Amino acid sequence: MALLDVKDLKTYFRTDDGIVKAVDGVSFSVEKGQTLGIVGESGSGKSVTCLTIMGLNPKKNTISSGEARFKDEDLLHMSPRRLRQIRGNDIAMIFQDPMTSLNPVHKIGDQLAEAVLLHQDVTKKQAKTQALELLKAVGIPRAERRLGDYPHQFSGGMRQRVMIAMALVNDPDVLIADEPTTALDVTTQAQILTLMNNLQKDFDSAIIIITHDLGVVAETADDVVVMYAAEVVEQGSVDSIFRRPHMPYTWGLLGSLPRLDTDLERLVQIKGQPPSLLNPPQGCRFHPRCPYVMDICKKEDPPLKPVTDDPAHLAACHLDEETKDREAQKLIEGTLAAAS
Amino acid sequence: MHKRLWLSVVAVAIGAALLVAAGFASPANSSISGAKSSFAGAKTGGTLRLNMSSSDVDYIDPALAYYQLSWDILYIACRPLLNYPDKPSPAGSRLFPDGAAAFPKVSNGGKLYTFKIRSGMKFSNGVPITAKSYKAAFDRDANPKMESPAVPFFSDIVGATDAQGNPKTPVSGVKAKGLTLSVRLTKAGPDILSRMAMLFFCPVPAPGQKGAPSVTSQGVNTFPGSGPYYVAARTPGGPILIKRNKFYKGPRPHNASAISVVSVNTNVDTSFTQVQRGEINYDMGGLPPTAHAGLAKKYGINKQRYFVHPVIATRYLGLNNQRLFRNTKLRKAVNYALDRKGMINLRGAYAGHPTDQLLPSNLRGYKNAGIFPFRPNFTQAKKLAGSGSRSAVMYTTTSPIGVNQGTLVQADLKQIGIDVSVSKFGTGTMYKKCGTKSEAFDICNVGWIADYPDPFDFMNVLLSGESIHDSNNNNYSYFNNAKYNRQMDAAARLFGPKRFSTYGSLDTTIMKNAAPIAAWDNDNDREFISGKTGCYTNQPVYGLADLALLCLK
Amino acid sequence: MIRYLIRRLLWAVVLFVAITIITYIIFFMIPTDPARKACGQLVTPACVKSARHYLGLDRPVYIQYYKFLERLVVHQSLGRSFANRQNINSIIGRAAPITASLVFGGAVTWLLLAIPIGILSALRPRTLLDRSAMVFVLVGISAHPVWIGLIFSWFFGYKLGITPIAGYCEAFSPPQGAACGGVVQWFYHMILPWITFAILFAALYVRMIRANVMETLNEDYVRTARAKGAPESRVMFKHVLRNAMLPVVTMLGMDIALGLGGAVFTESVYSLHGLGQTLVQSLSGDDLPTTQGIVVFGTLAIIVFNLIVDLLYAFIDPRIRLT
Repeated sequence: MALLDVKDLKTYFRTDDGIVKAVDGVSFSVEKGQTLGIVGESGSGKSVTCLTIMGLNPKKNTISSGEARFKDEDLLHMSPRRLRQIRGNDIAMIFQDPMTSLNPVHKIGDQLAEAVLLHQDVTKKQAKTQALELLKAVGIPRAERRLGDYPHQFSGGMRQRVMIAMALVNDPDVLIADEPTTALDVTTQAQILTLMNNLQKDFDSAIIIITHDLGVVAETADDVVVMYAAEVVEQGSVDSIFRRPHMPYTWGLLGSLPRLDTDLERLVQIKGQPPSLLNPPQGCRFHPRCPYVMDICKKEDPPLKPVTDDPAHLAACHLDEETKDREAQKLIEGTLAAAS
Repeated sequence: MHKRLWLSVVAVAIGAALLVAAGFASPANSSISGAKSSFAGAKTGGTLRLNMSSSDVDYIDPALAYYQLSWDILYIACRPLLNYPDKPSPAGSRLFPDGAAAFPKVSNGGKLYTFKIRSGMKFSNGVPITAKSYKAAFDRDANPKMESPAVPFFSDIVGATDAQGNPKTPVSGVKAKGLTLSVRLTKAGPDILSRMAMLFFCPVPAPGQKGAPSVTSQGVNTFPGSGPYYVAARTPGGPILIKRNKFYKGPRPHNASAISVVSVNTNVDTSFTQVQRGEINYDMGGLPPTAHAGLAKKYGINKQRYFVHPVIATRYLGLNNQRLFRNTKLRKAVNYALDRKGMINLRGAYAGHPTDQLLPSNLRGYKNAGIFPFRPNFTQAKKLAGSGSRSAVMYTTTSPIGVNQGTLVQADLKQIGIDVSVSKFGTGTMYKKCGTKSEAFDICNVGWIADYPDPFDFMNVLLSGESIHDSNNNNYSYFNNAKYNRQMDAAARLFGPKRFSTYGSLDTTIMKNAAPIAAWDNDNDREFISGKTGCYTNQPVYGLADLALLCLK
Repeated sequence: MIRYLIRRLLWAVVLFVAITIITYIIFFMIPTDPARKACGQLVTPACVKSARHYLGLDRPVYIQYYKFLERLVVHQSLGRSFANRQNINSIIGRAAPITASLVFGGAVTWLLLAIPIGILSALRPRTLLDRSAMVFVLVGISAHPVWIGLIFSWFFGYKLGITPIAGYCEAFSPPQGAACGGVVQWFYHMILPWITFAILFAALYVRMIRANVMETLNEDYVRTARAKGAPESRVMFKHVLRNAMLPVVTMLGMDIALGLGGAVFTESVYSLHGLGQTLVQSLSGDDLPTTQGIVVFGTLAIIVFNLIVDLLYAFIDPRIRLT
């Protein structure tokens, strides 16, 4: 039994224009000490997947189904009270924008202590001490003095460190990081990722990292889930996916990876826009943008099934193995050539 | 106050300068003494609670108080030498000796008045009232540190002018010795008795005596009373507490044991509901304009709780005799064309009754001559106006009523070929403008309330051409006729019944032959008391409920 | 901070001079004559002349203004009323607590009304409650306070008799002859005025708080708080409200100043002799010194009040620093 096991998760939003299927049948699992990367463009449903697991979607207009079992308890079907006990304690989350994710009117120390006090039966002072330790752990200089500071007195990177400290303060089993580095500059990105890796080693947490950046995934994740238009289109181990991606969308993502050693012309772009989730395309949802589109793609949605040589690697694509081999190989060679 | 006494610039002042009224107060025709309560079974005791909607007393200090409301209160707190009895009209406007034991002895060719002060009187603080208490009032009024508006009312007393120049100089012409007070005039003035009745001359303890009011231009808020009541406490802008004067042994009534003006400047609508609910016995400030018809229907007039009494006042259109209306026929034409009843209707139910003469119908001397119609007679008016079109400028007030009256006058005069353009001003501004000789107006929508119950205050003040100045005039029609000026002067010197009949005839003569104004209304005082309140009597001189009589049921 | 205070103070002086000069100018543009008014119905040129001298109106306007400033600065005196020669300091001393009772009590009332209604509407948009709140807002904004006051006074005071119809009670040391006194009576007499005064603002604030709360509910840090496992009540009070109230505090500062002006309607219906009613009386009585006194006092009160609000705002919103 995995630590967190998500099965056929669906999240639909009722809107004035109709039902938006934001997540449409997503399954994955995470083990202790492991890192799962969820990648995809904006609006592909990766954030919603995690918010659904955390129960943070607006209740009124959300319909969720499937299950998300954490230590054999279904997060989707538990009492709000029990869910609150798990949130922030067993499963913690870091959000994309550290600039807006901290409450501007409360001191950092208080916001950290609040996280402690919500789950641990300790005094305020003890909570502050714990908060301080975490601030030190995430590498905030002169942490003692900064407990009394307000979020606006911190830089973006420092705020994200605070967010991470806040997420880790209760020693969670699962840490969900939703684009933790997107809003930060490149140097800080690297620092934050290293920090997360180190902390994972220290705390032995499972991490789900949501990103549109396969580079981040390559650096941090053990497994990858590629999402497109609310669906999983490919999933497997990082090695397997980077070595042999099976889906043109994944190719596109890999191809658009910016590298320090290549010039701009080498960047491959995925043409077009992601589809509307109100009215997704028939057949394979990627087909309007797929350079390898075939007739069948427009009619039949390809099932997510294991690829031939690796049962743990799943992909959803109608393309024949030969084409996939050839194209994937070209991509890898290009990458390798650039790397050499 | 403003709501009713409209008329004047200071809608509120009834007193006035240069007053020469007299006659009815002469010893010969007056034998009226104070009245006991005329209400059988009137309950005495208890505290009356009053409001003053949209108004306040100006001062409670007798040397300064000049508003009608203030005088209605001082009337029950004072025992002037001569006073008006607690009775309805006409008896209520005839003087009787109150603080004086009798009318004075007049000697030295009408220049020396000697009063015998009643013995055994005391102020509410126990200090005896003697001749020097009355002299103290004159000296205090004259003191320049008081800045008292009473000054013009006794400037013909010997030494008054000197006293006004120096705070330490008393009025030498007023002499007090025990219970004898002598008043020496610089020239004979038949009106001095009426002036003595003014509450400016309310007796006060003399300097050095207990309770002597200080000399301050702000005025005092309490002073020892000499009438059936005294003012026990007053907060400016706030409540006034009036209590029964236990040392008063005179004949005047005193039904309630205390009277509390709980709030001044109250909202007329909410105050009205307080009276309806019985929380307040009586609102001295008046009623919402829309309430009258309903009250009259429900309670009748002058029967239970709603009372309508004429005020000694006239509203009229001043026709500027210096301009278009120097033409007598045209003035008469306006008098025929004016819809008097229509003008009154614009002021609300029971607001007044139509008139075509200057003297108010309830003023002694008035003779009803029926000169002009109360509804327009355009045939007659057109005949007088002749053909041709003219234009005229009318000044009126900015109030809705004033504006509507302007429109009505416009419509009436259009019928006789006068094209009226109406200019609207705030009340004070309109009076100031109409009182300025060079102002380019033809018609001014004005009114006049008696400073005093005497025809002089209407005839001479409003129509005599002798006192027309460049500005601050009261003669709003700038009527200046040498013959009538002489006749008015002569009438002012008369005493007794002859005075009134002469003025009455003069009124009808001037209106019939010269028509210098177009009078249209004699105002009514309209009042309402709560169901728990009784003994209502309208004091005709002060124009409000007699507070000494008003009682709890 | 010190620099900020000094700057504000200088600004206040400029504002003060501008406002008092404007008041003087307006008064001298109005063609009324307080001296003539002081003389009564039967005016004489002599009386008007002496009254002009006594009232100081026989001097040029700039001298009158200079005298006014001199009195104010040297003697801290606003002078005496033209109408009844009362010391204006004491007139204001009596009126200001009444207006303060009305405005501050009214502000508390409108917040007590608007905060719960606003929050509930924000949490349950488009429900019956939200829509009823909307009707309340519409009525509150459209109905004139005098009308509301008269209706309330008539219905609750006259018809039902559960509140006083009108009037004010001094909480401490009521004057002799007053109908009532004491804190309880003060409160009892202020209930209807407070509600009347508060309705317009309550309506505006319901809208504002609803919008603010809805907006704040979508903030990332609210999601963070939930992700921490905070219960909804805590999320609401600790995270949403504190932030949603920030603009409300700014508005409150401005609206209380605005309310000083609006108070006149409520004061007139309920016969509360506050600054508003005194101002109206002094205006209609051409009583320049009293008008000017209230203008001066009101200006100072508003300046001080805005300063307090600014300081308060800096206190509750750490992002603001006064420089």
